[in-house]
Amino acid sequence: MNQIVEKIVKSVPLSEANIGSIEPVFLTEKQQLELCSVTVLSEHAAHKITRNKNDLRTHVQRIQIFIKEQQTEATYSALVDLFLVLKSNGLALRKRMLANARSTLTTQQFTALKMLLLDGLNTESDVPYAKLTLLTQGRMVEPHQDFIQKITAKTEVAISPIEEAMSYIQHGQLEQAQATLQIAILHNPRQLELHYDLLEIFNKTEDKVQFSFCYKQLLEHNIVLPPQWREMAHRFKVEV
Amino acid sequence: MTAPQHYQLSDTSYVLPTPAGAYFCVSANSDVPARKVLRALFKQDEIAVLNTELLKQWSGLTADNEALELIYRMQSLGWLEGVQNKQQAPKGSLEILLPEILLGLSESGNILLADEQGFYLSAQGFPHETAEQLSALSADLFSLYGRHQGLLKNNLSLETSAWSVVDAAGNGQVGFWPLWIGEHHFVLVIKGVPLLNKPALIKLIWILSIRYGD
Repeated sequence: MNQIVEKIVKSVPLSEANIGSIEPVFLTEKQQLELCSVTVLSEHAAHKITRNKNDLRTHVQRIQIFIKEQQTEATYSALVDLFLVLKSNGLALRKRMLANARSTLTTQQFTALKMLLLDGLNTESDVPYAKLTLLTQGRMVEPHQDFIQKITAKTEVAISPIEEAMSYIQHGQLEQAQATLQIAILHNPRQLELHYDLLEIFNKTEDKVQFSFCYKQLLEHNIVLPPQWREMAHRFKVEV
Repeated sequence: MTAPQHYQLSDTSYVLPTPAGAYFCVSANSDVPARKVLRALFKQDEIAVLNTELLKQWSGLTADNEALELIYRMQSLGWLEGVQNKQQAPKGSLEILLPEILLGLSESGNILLADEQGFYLSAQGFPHETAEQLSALSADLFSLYGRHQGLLKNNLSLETSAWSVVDAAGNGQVGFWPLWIGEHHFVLVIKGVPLLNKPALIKLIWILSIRYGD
């Protein structure tokens, strides 16, 4: 597909009108740089990063676009996004990109990022506010803290069903995770977190048969289910 | 009040929604407990220190532990955060506050907020006529969504009611995000990359909720 489009692009005179109608997704990186405006390029890169935040190549391209255009705030924000993704990894890349951006950044921005080179950037609160970041949480006040804690009894040695289910999910054992949560609901039907996690599994797997079986079993035990069960049953067209 | 068995609320931390919480709050109008809590928080002039009674009242849940579990879940999802200092809702008229807030939500600086009638409350970066036409389009799209909600929400399980004009890669070029506030709805229209992960979203939802919330 790319080759076909490349041939078409090469055969078309590169007038302004033609350039305006070209979709960046069909172009090679080189062609994108030649044919697309800075706005199109930077927006295309931004969308790619929000889809895959670990796409380092696109992070670098985005930073370079903004450095070339001498856009201070955008360059700083793009660097913060890269630093957040890499944390303490990729020191050489972070050093290189920061050095390239030095003349574009303010002294405060440059110093803040330079000080984090070794330890890495873990939270957005460690650096001055970046207006155009894509990957920050955008909390209004920093530093934030937990306002509610889960109390775990010191004598409790067995892991919770949710932790057990998580462990199964991490190993790709979805059926075991589902069974663990279902049993836990039967023992503790008022713990909403169990319901939400089990429903999330059904939502991801789209396993209508298992959902139907589980839903009916829980109803047979006269368990009062959160409304999300009914909604999913409606979605999966499960009749009780 | 009996101390909850499994959760402990801080009695010194104020609770503030995050942009993710603000987005969840207004992106649909179904009355789930989490949304009720967020709506109630956004109707306060000052953020609150939560207690179990307040939580139950806001969420509609009757059991202490259920209410605490809900709020713990919301914290885990990053919808709420605790802060040391009391925060106040932005003060001033919408006309004065909206321009700066809106600019914080768009990379390109082209953004507007339209009401349900298809008129804009504030527009930045768009020429007046374009803003008027986009606002009218936003009302049309909202109405279109209403007519096809059964297909989009029920059949296709699409939980979003936002619309976008996309390029060949599926990237939004102009997006329309309905914001459900009380009995009203507004539409946020953004050309280019949206920045809904910014504190400006909290401010926007807060001032709209105080002005137009139930």
